[in-house]
Amino acid sequence: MTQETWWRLEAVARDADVAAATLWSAGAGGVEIRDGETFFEGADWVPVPDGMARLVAYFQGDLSGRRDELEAALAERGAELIALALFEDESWREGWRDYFVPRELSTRSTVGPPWLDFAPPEGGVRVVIDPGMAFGTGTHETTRLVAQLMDEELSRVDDAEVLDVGCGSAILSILALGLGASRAVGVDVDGEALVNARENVERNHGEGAAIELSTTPLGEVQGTYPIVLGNILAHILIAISEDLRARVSSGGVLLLSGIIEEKDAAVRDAFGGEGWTLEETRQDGEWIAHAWRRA
Amino acid sequence: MAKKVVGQIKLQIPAGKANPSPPVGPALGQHGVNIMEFCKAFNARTQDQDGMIIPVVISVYGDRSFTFITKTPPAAILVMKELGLKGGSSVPNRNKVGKISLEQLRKIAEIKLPDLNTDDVTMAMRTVAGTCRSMGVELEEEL
Repeated sequence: MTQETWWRLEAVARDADVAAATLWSAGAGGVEIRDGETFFEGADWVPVPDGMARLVAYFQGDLSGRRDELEAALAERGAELIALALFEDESWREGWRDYFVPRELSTRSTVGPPWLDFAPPEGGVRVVIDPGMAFGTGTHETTRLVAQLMDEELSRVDDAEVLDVGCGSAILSILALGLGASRAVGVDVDGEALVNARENVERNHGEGAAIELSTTPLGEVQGTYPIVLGNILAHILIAISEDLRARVSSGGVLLLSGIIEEKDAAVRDAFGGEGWTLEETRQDGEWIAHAWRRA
Repeated sequence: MAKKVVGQIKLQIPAGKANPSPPVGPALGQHGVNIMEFCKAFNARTQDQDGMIIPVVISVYGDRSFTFITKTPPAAILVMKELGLKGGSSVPNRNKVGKISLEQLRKIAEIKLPDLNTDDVTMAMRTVAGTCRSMGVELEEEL
């Protein structure tokens, strides 16, 4: 993710939705609404009078010359502009780190951050992830579901090569190598995520590890793999289903995750067909993962 | 024992497009919530409503896990979309920016019904009509 310039606007309004619509029309990138129902323990939020709401909106670009215009637009809807300033606070990027603690990733692995000392399960592996702003801390159901399916597959096959589509922090590629894969190839459309992913690879497996990471489009990835992972979101999996299936070698397995419950049937439709068997589905909360075997 | 809720946060975010930038990042990150996990879950749940603004209420627990519920798009946004408006009037009492028919009002009221404290469409239409008035949108016929 690139660093961008944002402006933060704060307003107080009686009708939060109408004031928010004004801000959306003015080009806001998103709006937070604080009212009588919102709170956060320990946060120094300025209270709002009963029946009123405080709106915090963020805009990209330069708003230095637009204060009067925004103030007038809000005022005409009964809202008052309280503050408009360049948003330079970066502390929020790190806040969640305090709560990233080691936890089971799969039967044979534990994931945790580099700033904590933690042990793997007996006979298993330790996966150290500093996720930065990339997807994949291993705390999300979708990652754990596909990690477990891969763990089981790698316990049945030796020296498998793994293709990790939408690799994010590279957590699954790192786990694959730890559990005995001979090589992992990770691709992601987010080049920024790969900077962090490479650091994670080196942290776990050292320089020269057999993990290749790139932004190569899936359609241009060469060869076939006995294990292909797609931990993305259902609508993306469906959109790239042809390319995903083409990369699975005969007898190989395609492990899909990121499927929210109501999309399960659509994913089954997209990936089913001659030569493919849905060997297993796993569910955790509203999330589902599939293991498809190619004949 | 049920987990303790330590915070409740309300955001409006474009459907399917949550990302770690503001407002999601600052609103959640400063309280210890894993921003990327929220983005993934929100985008999965809302990607079918592309182009809409979705209000979301996020409950955060002591261990910084979270749950969230998405609401129907704000009435003001639905009115603007229905009438093809870029914004409401800057002087809603004097300058009218458009007119809305009862049929259009009903359509929006039916979308909003799950979030309103009623199952009576006429009541919901009155609520939406109030939003219209504050935006400078006239009703073609009185309710």
